[in-house]
Order: sequence, then C-alpha cells, then structure tokens
Amino acid sequence: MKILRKSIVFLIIFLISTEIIFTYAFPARYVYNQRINYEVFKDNVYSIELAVKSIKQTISRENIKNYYIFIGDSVGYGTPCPPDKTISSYLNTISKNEGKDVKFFNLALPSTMFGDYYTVLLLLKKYDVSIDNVILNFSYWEINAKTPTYWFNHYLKELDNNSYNKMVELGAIKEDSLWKNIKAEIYHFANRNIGIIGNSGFVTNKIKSITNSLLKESKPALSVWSSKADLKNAMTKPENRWYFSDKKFNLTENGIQIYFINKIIELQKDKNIIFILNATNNQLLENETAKQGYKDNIAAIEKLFNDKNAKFLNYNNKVDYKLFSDHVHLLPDGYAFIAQDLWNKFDKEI
Amino acid sequence: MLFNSIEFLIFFPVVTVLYFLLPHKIRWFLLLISSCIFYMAFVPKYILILGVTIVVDYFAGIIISRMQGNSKRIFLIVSLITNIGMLFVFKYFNFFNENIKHLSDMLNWNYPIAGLSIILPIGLSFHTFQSMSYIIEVYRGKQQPEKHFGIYALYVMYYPQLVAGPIERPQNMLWQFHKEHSFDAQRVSDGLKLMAWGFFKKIVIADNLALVVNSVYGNPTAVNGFSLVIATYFFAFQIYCDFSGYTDIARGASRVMGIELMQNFKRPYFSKTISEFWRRWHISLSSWFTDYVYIPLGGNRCAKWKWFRNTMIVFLLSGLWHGANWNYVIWGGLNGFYLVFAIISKDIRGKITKWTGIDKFPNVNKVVKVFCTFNLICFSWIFFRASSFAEAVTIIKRIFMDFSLKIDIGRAGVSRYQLLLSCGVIILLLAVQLYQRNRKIINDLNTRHVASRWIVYYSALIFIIIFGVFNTNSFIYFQF
Repeated sequence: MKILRKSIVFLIIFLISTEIIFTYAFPARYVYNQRINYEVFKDNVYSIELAVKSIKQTISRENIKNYYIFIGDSVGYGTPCPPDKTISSYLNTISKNEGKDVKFFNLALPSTMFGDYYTVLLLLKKYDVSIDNVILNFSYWEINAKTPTYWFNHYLKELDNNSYNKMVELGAIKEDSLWKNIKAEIYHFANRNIGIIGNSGFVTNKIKSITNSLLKESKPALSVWSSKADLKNAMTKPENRWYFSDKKFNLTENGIQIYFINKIIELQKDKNIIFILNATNNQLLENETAKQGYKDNIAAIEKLFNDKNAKFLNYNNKVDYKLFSDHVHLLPDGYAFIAQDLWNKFDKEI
Repeated sequence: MLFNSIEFLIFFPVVTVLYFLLPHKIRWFLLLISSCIFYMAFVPKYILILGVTIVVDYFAGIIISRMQGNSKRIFLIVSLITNIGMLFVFKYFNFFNENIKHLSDMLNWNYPIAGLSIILPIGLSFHTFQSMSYIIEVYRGKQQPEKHFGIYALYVMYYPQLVAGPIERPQNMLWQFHKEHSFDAQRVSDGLKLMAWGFFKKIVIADNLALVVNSVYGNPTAVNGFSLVIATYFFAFQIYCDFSGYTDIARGASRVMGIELMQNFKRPYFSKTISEFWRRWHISLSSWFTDYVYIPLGGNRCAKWKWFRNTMIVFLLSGLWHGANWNYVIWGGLNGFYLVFAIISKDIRGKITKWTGIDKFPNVNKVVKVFCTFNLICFSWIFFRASSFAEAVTIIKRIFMDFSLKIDIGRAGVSRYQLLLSCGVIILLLAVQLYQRNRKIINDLNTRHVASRWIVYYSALIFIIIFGVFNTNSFIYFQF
C-alpha cells in the first residue's frame, strides 16, 4: 500500500508540474502563429480550442479592441503559402502600414464546411472572443456538399445539440456508437484538461521545425499551376470532377449547407460578417467554368446571399489566372491581391 | 482489443482490480470472461473457432491420458487434425488453392475450386500452437491432463498472450492458474514498469520507425540503395520493438496478476551467429519447433544430410507459420540456408579468422560477428517486409546496383526530422540493451533513490506523450 500511496503522490506532482510547464509557461505562438497549426490540428482537432485560447490571450495582452476573425477553408488558411503570406497576414500588414488599429486573426482550416464555420463561431462565443467582425470565405462546391461538418461533429454536438440532432435526423451526420462517444469524451477531456496531452502535438511540431531548419530541410517551392504537369489531368478525375459540377445546386431552405448559412446569419444578426466566394482558376478549368450550369449555380449563390441581405463578395473572374497555384489556391501575390481588394472595399468600415 | 488502445487503458485496471478483489476460487472465471471480451473486441464470431479447439483438446487430453498404444495415438491425431485443420482452412486454404490454380492454368487444366472469402482470425497461429503443445505434452506423459474445463480454456485464451504469444507450455501455465496470487505491491510495480517499457518500444520506437519504413517500402523505386538499406535496418528494429513491445506488455500485465509468462526475446540483435539469433528471437516459437518438429525428426543427432534437411524443414515451416505467402516461405528458407551454410563453412570460417588474426582481438571479433549476423538477418527481413517477391527482388537489385553513400530518403517523403528521430530512438534502444547486458534495468531502478527513479519515469512518460505515435497502429504479429 505504501508503494501505491507513493505512486499517487508522485503522479500528482507530475501532473501539477507538467500542467504548469505545458499550460502556463508554454509560448502561445507555438499554438497559434498567424494561423492555426494545421500539422497539429489534423491529428488533434481539439487543438482548435488552444488556438482560440491563444487568440484570446493575445487580445487581452495587447488590449486589442478592433479585430476581425477570419474563418473559412484552405484558401482562407493560405494553402500552400507560409503563415505570413495569407490573406489575413497581408491584411495585418496593410493595417499596420496604414496606421490603423485593427487586427485580423485567422481561424480558417482546410476541408471545412458551413457546419464547421458555424461551430467555430460558437466556440469563439463560448470563449468570449468577440465575433462582431467576421470574414468567412468558402469555395463553390462547399455550398452543395453532402456533409455539414468535416472536423467538428463533436463540438457541434456539444455547442448546439439541436442542430446536431437535426443533422442526424436528416441523415447528414451518422450518430456514433455509445462507445465511440465515450472515447471522444475521454480524448476531449484529456486534451482540454491535461496540458501535456493537449500541447504535446505543438511541442513535437516545434522540435520538428527546429530540427528541419538545423538540418536545412528544403521545403517544396511554391509554383504556379501551369508548371504542374499532372494538374489538368487530375482535375478531370471522377473524385475531383464534383468540385466544379454543373448540376443544379440545392439552395432551397432544406439544404444542409443552407441550414448552417442561416444559422450563421442568425448568430451574426446585428454583427458584421462578410461572405467571400473564392476565385476559381478559369484557365485550368475552362471547360467546367464555361458550362451554363456552373454559371447558373454561381448566380444562384449570389442571389442566395443577396436575398438574405448578407454582405457577399464573389471573387470569380477577379483574380488573374497567373496568380493561382492550382484550381482555387493562390500564390502569395494572389493572396496579397485579395487582401488589398478587401481592404479597399471595407476600408471605411474598418 | 489492442494493447495500445484506450479500450485497454480502461479494460486492464478494471480487470486487475476485480482480480484482486475476488476470491481465488472464481478468479479463473473473471480471467476467462475478460479474455473472451478481449478477443471478441476484434471479430466476435471467431471466438467460436477457439471454442471448438478448446472443447476438442480438453476432451482429447483427458482421453489420451487414459489410453495406451494406438488408441492414444488416434486421439492425438484427431486433436492435431482439428487444430491444423482450423489453421489450414482459415490461413492456408486460399494460398494452396491459388497456387494449385496457377499450376492448373499453366498445364491448361480446369480447376474448379474457388477461394474462400474469410478473414484470418487474429492470433490463430499462436493459440493453435499453444493448444497443440498441451496435447503433445499430455500424449508424451509430461503433463497431466487439466480436469478443470475453465482453467484449460483459460490456458488457451489467457488474454495477455492470446493473440501474439508468447506461445506457452502447459507446464509453465496451468499450475499458475491454480495457485493463489496475493497482491504484491513490488510485483505489481515491476509488472507496470515492464508494461511501460513495452508501450515505449511500441508507441515511440516501432511506430516512429514504421513511418519511415512504410514510406520507403511503399515507394522503393524512388530512393537509392543506401536509403533502402537504412529503411531495412529500421524495419529490423521496428519489428523487434513491435513484437517484443507486445511481449513486454503481455508479460507485464500478467506479472501484475502474479502469473509469469516466458521471456520471448533476449537482445537478439547482439547475437554472434544465426543459430544464436534464433535462440534469442521469438524464443517461444523457436523452442516449439525444436521440441515438436526438429527433435522428433532426428535433430542434429543423425547423418549430416538429415540434419540439414531437418533444419530446412523447421525454417520453411516457421516461414509458413508467419503467413500464407511465398515471401515468408523464402524468408524462412533463407534463414534455414544461413544455418546450413554456417555448419558447412564452420572450419573455413575458423581458418579465415585465424588467418586474419582477428581471433587475437576477441572484442573486435565479437563486433564483426554481431555485425555480420545482423546484416544477414536484415537481408532476410527484406523478404519479410516486401509486399511481394518481385518487390523484394527490386529492392535487393537497387541495394546492389544503385548504391551511393547519399541519403535520398526524402524522395520517399521522409523528413530529416523523422530520420533523426528514428536514429535517436534506435540509439536509445541499443543503449538500454547494452546497459542490460549483465543487469536488469527494473531491478536496478528499484535500488535507486526515489527522486532519480521518478525522474526516469517522468522522462519516459513525457517522451511517450511527445514522441509517441497515437493512431493505434496494430501489432505486426497480430496477422499471424
């Protein structure tokens, strides 16, 4: 029994000391550095909470009063560019250069859906991070996607159980078994409450980046879409063709993405939200984007947001095709262009 | 249920606490039920296969002990046919069927038998061999038949070693199930430490090495020969840490409850000869083949050609035991060939050692021998790891034809960090194993000051959390 008591005492000491090191002495920039650390996030979705906490800390530490939260997909995230070459980071640079007192925080993530965007907003609200100013970017296909969430089922269930149940009823979300739910709760609890577990991915990532830079690991160079030989072929493959389908979108009120767009608009009532439709590479996808069905869908998306009196910007045909790195993602100059354009459009509001 | 899963993290303490709370009389029942739950977490219906072999072998054991002469042999054969039959249907039928079909196609014969669409029950080869061991020992009169059906079922199904061994003998296990084991804090602590080391080997070493090995072996034509050599070395340590990690967790979990399982590995990569390697690698399987195949065939106490034949039979069977695939057979055959060649070349090697004068430097001689043995074993691992014979040949060709001292492993998508981490964990493993040459690290730790002891535990725990791979990779030996 003595050994058991000793073990418990030492375990408590371990937990307290690691909690101090990994929670309070852990640099916030390892968690959030101009955007979410996707390398860590993809293995541990709960790290979104740490990113939100980190943003909250920055806001409070720097006493930031005027800020925008950028949510969205991989275009908003800045794929394939580094963190300092994304729309939000360029907006921060412009803001600084213009002497304005406004900051932009990037919570966009690759492969997200409207259910995910809504859940991120709820999470921000939960942590008392203002969602008074939000910029939300999305891609053409997302509005017709069959799944409401890619990452945040668990959070949706926790933060808006009614919406989650509605999606289960509609068959859009498959309810997990009791055991899977218990497991998810255990993971969630551990990540949320045990500093070393929640932050372990960031520590590994930091060690990885230090090692790679010491060993001069070369990063793949950013290249324009036209230099990628297989890209055109890849886009015609069945698994990619649906991205730019010309089939008529279901934009009626019973569509699952529309449900979450409505929820977002409802949540942002009396607040500022700008919806941005990402630009499409019309050179690469000249056949797809020339189809009447595609054009009709774009027009229908515009009408949808206009009918809801939401601020909406359509970047289709607005970005030079030379600024694309693939079908939708941009090179640094492309993201800089969007940032400048956004700044010009909303300068007065900002 | 995988040892490295959250399910086991809950299962193990619950079973252990209940085990010590319950009176000895019904502990077997708890362990049996727990073992059923553990096994059914994979594919529930396959417990029926276990059930059939348990019932057949239980009664066969009792009957064999009461019979004499031919009737005794008949029941032994019935039991062995049941066990081997199960193994054949589930593991080997499709392999033999496909090969016969290929042969028929080549000869333009019409071969009508279609393959079976069945999944291989997890750990089938392990528990079948354990059951066969019981029956043979009873037949030989070296083991009394177990009268208690529950205890016998537990012998076959005991959850720590059910799916990946060690393949135990009845003499080592049955009495332990009958004996009452009281709670011993020191023993529990030792068991937990062994488990922790097993988890470390699996989650930190094996699964990190797997990331490199899978990338390179998944795309062997992308890299040069040197990178393939590195990946093969990594695989050697991956499979060792994966399997010995499992064994350590199994032995540790069992030790906590007071039941000792046999040691399955004794620092095999420090072996000086191939035969020594096989005395230190997967000991429970090697000794099974030695006792039940090699010695009955005549072992080495016969004509030299028979000795060679016996060696080759054992290793070809050992290869086939690992999987119904020609690659495993070749792997086994290659190891058999190494041993035969070692016997043949013993005098010549002795002369070479003398001629070079290396025998005057015993330590250098030892290092050279360990290095050669390790490389021969690694060469055979290529067949074990490659997905097909053709791929193994491609890898070997590239190793010999496209060799330069430039590491281009990055072309297979491996980062320098991953490469460095892999080298780091291998060095750590070797350091621990060298330290353990003449002493046991667990015993050593127990004598250290409490603070230094806990620093080691804390460091290990932090290391596991930070560098561990937590996507619950299965253990390689589960597929056998």
